[in-house]
Amino acid sequence: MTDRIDLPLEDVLDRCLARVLAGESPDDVLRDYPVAAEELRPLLLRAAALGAVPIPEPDGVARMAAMSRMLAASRDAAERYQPAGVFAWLGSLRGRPLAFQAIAAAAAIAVLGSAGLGASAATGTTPEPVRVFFRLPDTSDSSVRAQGTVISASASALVIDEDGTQRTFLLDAGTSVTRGDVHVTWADLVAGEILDVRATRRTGGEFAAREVRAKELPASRATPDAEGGTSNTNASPPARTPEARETEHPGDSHADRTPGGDGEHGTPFASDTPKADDGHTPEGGGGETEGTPPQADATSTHGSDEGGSGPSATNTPEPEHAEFRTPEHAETPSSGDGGSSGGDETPTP
Amino acid sequence: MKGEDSAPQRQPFEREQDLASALRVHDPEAWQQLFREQYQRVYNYAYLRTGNTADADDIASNVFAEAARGIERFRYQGAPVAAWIFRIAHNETVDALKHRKRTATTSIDEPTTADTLQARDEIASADEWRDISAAMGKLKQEHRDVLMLRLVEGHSVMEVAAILGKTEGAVKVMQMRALQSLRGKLQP
Repeated sequence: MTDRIDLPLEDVLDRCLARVLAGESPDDVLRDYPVAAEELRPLLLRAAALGAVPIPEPDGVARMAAMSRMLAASRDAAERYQPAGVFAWLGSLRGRPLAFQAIAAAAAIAVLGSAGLGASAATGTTPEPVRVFFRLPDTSDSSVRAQGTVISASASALVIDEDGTQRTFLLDAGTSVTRGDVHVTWADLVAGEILDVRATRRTGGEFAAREVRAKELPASRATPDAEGGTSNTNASPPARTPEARETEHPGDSHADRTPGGDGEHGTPFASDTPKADDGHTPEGGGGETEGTPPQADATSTHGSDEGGSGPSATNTPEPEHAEFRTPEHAETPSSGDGGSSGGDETPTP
Repeated sequence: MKGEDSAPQRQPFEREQDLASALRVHDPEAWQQLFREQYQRVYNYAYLRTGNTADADDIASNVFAEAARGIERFRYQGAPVAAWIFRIAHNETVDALKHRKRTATTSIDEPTTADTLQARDEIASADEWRDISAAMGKLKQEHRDVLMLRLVEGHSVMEVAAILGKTEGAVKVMQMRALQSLRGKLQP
């Protein structure tokens, strides 16, 4: 006898119902609950009658059709909605031996770590491999900051060396250039001068400088002037690129210049109006370029190692940012001169 | 034994959470498992409310297609996937009944349980069915629902609670009161 007086009647009924639904007869069940049997018997009899309602079997053809329709809908939905890559990948591991899953997970962590987790500390943005792998939204649209020495400058672009990595920033009329508390222009920047650049990444992957602060002039180039101040005009030439020098001549335009203008870093300056479809951000390629200075720099460094090859001056009609190119672009074979012809100014077709 | 060394068969998803996760990434095997486990019950649910096998087939098909399309909206929070499926089934059934009502030449005010069970009279040919169907038709809607889900369709208390949006304790109380009410309706 398992009668439990302390249980609420609805709980006793539910226990009885579960057994009746499992196939026991009401009388058999109620033998275990003699105290409540009188009250529960009519309820269980009704329940047993309801549970015996015959239901016709579904049509086999309709069932198969429903299964096919469901799977097709699932496939369609899967195409529309791609789950985060890592979760889909983890799901694919299901059914594999546990040891295999553990090794695969450890390998993934190692790859992720080496792929650039550390870069996040340096850039303040999500490392690109991580962002792509997890399909994270690109939130790197915020400001970026870089410090380095001036390599070259023009009205439209500024190239600095940051710890051995070349970075290119677009300049425009809205860019604030200061030295100390004094507003200056890009033309006042001196090669080798230390800059603090704050920029915003554009949708095309370019970095548009909002604020350029000249920290100090290199001591060797800062020559005391007559008033006891310093001047960058005596010992240090302005950090103007060949393109920039050309712009001083009316009628010339940066857009008319080919890549590899200075032959040093293979970084042609883009026109002032970046093109969203100019190859900087191909579909998916944006993931390789957007907000990923380390990767982008790697491509530019590569180009530099190649003698400033990057996009060949003669092969690539449009002036682009070699630093922020996709690897495919960065590795475009040069015209054979190792990019040293960057100084050649070939008009764009 | 031949065949044992071939590709290992995947185990069914035993935990609801695993099944829900696999459904969300549109794992075909997860969807097939869900279909195998729930199709008959969804069909029963639809049949008992429409009294029509063709409608039940259509509704069951719609339910699983809708589920596949909308699985991204499903968030596993402890309630079984079946409860979510039956909420879809409820909506599809209501839509089907509304459509039937709009297109019917004669008024069908309450073509649910009572009609369904009366339709069974032709099959069962038992006075008891007639009495039960008549009594069920007089019950409150929530009492009818809980009896249908729990006793006719065989859902667990937890599933019924999830489908109806009640606590398990409330479902137990409801089913007792529903049976008491049914008994009262059946007494002369």
